[in-house]
Amino acid sequence: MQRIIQVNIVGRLIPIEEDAYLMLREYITSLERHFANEEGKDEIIQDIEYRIAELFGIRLQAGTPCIDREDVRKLIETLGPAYTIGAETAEPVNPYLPATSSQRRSSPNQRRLYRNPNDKMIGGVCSGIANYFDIDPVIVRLIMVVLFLGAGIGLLAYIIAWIVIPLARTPEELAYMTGGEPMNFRSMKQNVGNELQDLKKRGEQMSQELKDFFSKKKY
Amino acid sequence: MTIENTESQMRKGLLELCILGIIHREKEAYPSDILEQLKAAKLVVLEGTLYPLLTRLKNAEMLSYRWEESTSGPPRKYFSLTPVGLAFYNQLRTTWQELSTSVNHLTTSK
Repeated sequence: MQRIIQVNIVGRLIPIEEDAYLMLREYITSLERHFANEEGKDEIIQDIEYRIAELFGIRLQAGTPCIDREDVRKLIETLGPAYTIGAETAEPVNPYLPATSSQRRSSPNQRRLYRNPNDKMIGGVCSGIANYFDIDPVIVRLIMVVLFLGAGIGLLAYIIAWIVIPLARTPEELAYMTGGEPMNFRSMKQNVGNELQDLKKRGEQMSQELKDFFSKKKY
Repeated sequence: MTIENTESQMRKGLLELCILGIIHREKEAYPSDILEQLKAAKLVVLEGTLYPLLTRLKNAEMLSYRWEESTSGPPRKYFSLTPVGLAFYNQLRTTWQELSTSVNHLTTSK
């Protein structure tokens, strides 16, 4: 059974299977990361989205009721995975060297670290960490309390984690939080680079969240 | 070292010249047009490589564009050469001609 959702790609409504949508989103996110330092990033992504809308449009006109994973797979094959795009006029990539960290994207099946909005005492940090490593949140909370009482660094660590770890907002972020492979040390190391790139964005979200949190406490 | 890598580096290096060539020949072209023509000329590229290149050329003021509504799909961005772009294109073309003469000379058996 597959849920079919409607997405708006540059103003065009595209019916797409939920799985395929997640795959497409993952691809566009990988493009955004790839072009993160590029001056015309938004424009490039938008141009690519126009092409996606056009190619899907052709597919739908040919009589497909909706876009599925196979269509997205073909699309990615046509456009090229993020790391193959756009290296031709920027600093030349040495094809004989092993892939750089930006090219080693985490697989979509990998679990990600989010704060858990559905099971939280304060900010959902402990519960998110527990999900990430597949352990009981109570254990993480106990460790945090011991750290807090013992050396006083628990509070600071908690605040930093609150800032650094994003809240799982959308259904797919929740899916990434609990789904896929639980983290081990090696896969975690790979992920750190990617996670750091989103840090700036989170700082802004965080200040809003803190405001919300403290204004709620008053009542 | 693989043949695919070397070939793809060669193609990537010349893609800029080819794109400018297509836009010059057509006076105006939108991305999917350019992709069609590249395919027709058997120059195989991943479609995604075109978009960052167009944006960089536009930001370098070699290209300008205008939007046009399309009956069959999303609106299209039509690119054309600016005077700077035209000069750049002519320069590149001269360089390519010299280069291809040299390469032909060196890779032809005596």
